[in-house]
Amino acid sequence: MLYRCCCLILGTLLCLVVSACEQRDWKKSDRILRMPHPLEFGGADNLDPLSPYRFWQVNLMLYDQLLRLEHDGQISPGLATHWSSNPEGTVWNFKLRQNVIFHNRKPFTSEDALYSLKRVKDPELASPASAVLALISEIKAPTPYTLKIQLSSPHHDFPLLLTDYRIRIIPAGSSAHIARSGIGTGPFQLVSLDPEGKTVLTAFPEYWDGKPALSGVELYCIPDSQARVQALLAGQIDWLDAVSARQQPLFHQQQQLRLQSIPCGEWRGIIFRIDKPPFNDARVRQALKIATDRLTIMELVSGKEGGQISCDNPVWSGDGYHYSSTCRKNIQQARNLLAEAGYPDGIEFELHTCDIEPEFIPLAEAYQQQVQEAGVRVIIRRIPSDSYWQSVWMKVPAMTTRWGQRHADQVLNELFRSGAPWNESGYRNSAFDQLLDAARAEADSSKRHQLYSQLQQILQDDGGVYLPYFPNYIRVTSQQLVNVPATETKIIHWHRIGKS
Amino acid sequence: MLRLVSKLLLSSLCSLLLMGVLVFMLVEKLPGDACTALLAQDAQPERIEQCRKSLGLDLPSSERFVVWASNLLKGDLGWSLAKRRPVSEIIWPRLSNTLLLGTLAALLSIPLAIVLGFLAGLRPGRKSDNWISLASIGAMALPEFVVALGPMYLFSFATGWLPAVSLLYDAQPVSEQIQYAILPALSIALLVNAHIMRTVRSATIHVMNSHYIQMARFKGVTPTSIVLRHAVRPTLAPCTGTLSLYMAWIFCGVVVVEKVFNYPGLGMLLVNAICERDYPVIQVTCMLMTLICIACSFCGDLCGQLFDPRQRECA
Repeated sequence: MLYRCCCLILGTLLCLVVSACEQRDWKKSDRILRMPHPLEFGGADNLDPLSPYRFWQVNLMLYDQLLRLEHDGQISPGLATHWSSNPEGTVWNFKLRQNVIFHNRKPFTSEDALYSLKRVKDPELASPASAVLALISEIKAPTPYTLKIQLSSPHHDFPLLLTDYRIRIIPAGSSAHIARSGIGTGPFQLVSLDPEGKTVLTAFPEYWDGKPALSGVELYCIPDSQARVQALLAGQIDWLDAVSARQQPLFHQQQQLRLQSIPCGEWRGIIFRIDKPPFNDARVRQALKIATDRLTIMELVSGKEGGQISCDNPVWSGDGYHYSSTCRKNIQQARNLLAEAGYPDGIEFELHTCDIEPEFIPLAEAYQQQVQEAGVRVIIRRIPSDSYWQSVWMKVPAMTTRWGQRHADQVLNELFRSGAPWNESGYRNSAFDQLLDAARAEADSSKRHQLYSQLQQILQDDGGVYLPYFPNYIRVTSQQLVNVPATETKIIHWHRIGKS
Repeated sequence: MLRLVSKLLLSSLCSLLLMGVLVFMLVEKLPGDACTALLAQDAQPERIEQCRKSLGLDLPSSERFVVWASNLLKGDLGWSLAKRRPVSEIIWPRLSNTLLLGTLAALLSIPLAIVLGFLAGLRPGRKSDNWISLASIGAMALPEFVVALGPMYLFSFATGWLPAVSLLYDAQPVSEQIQYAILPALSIALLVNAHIMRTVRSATIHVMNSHYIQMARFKGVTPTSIVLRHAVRPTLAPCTGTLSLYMAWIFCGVVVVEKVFNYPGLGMLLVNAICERDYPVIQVTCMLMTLICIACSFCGDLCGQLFDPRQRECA
């Protein structure tokens, strides 16, 4: 009897395994790109590119931009083919691409561009992108294929603002249903939307830049980062973004996978509020910056060659306006600066952090060890991650922070202009603000470069941000994928990627 | 029997009510709310205010609880704050996933655990008992995520027979769902097996040493007949309580296994809802889990009485 029972159970188990193995559709060899996404907004994710809960991984493939940002920091044509301004940089004219159709076969015209840009500034939408286009005072569509934008103040790099990944073109009048319909002019069109399950896109054969090489894209919801790694190793998905330094060694021996380490402008850093003591003294801030060896910190947190060293400059090396400088560890100078500021015995402060980002705590710990030598005692306060942005960030004197890649004008204005909503270090410097305005109004590009360099030098000497390095963006893809560029995901030309 | 059922129903209702109030109070005590959780770094004061107004979080908590409870009585489970969808739309697919996983795990674990428990208990101290006990103690000592990685390595990475993580979605055929549920179910089965097996083994040893079994042996009853006719029922009777507890755990407490395999069950839903401060989802999920636990306990009591007449007399 017992023997029979055992046989029955083992038989059932075997049948289940065999029937499951027969399916084996998790390893199909077709031209479909399978990607994971972490469900950033817990299921509220939608296809409105301007929504605070935007499903951005899908939006990149559904919608086009007027202008595109390339990896070298240059602008290339998107739905706008030519652009020019008046000598003052206050009026911008755009010539739009003809013979472009939306996924519902409606032709693209300037009315759609006008509608999409006006929508960015809609207060009811409360889009985080509205601050980017705050200086637009008027938009007109004089002809079906031209667009005229009037600015409230001169800005000779205004086209750069239009390359923000959230500012995308949707059909005129589609606001009410765009969150579910996803109709754009992009290389892929929506088949089904299920942020918590599988979202399916299919190639749009009439895409204006050529038929996509892939036949479709499937996005699977995998919230856990370790589960995403397992899915890639098991061949269930073809693509994995934002791999952490600790996960990287898992892929070194995998012949079927390709690892890309891409220099980019994302960063993690430590903020010292300059309106709170002891950080209100520029000498203290300077001492806290020069007391560390940035290369050691980078190697400890992100591994060898894990990024590019920065001297507290938020403009990354791939940006056209990057100002290159060096910064060496100098303990004696740090001690002298602290003594001059009235702290001959060093200082002690609390550094607030959490584990929202895997690098936050290692960065805080590495920093704590480095500055110890200069008489700086850092007490790390670990905060529950679910209340970090609300209760700690921008409220306490010292905390860790993170930012995505932004071009020079955007990062300097959004994070360091006096009174800017995201000015997390509380930086206030009227000379800095005037230089920012002057840089925007400067028509000569080399002079503009000089002005942006001055701004970066000011931040390096006086700012309240400790930014030791820009970590590389790590992506792992299947060897079957071809034409995967070594660029940040948000600027990829998706229709060029193929699968062999 | 009727008295027992009515007593059970009354206590279940009280438990549900208590659970609703308790969960609401605990969620209120947590720092932050659905808006701060969703907006994260975009959570500027005006945006938070706008979000709270749109979700009704600007109302006093007591008022929100009364509205939610009265809607629940009308059969309306409420509206998810994080997902902006009716809770009923979210909860039923998760419940069906959990039921599939739990049933599969129960099928794989309980019969095998009972059989192995009997085998070990019938010959205590022998080689078979030592091996079975060693394996079960090992499985009990290991953390859930370690046990889960074993089948994943064996059946997915080494052989490629089964998918490593679950990629479930709405309207997926059941045959496809099963292939994603096998590895998590196997991991749960390994964990539960050990516990149930130990219980059955102890009960078997106890029953086999009892006087009436010895008497049966003296009377010349065959060993097979002793086990099947005289030992099985008395052994299973004390195990039903433990079994019902593990059944409840299989359905409600396997969040670690769900996370390792990316399996979208009720456990993951609850953990995510807590992180998102999505209190309508938290409350409904907790109450559903309470219901499942009550149902398992009820079944356990009922089976116990079927196997053991003494329990019927006590009731």
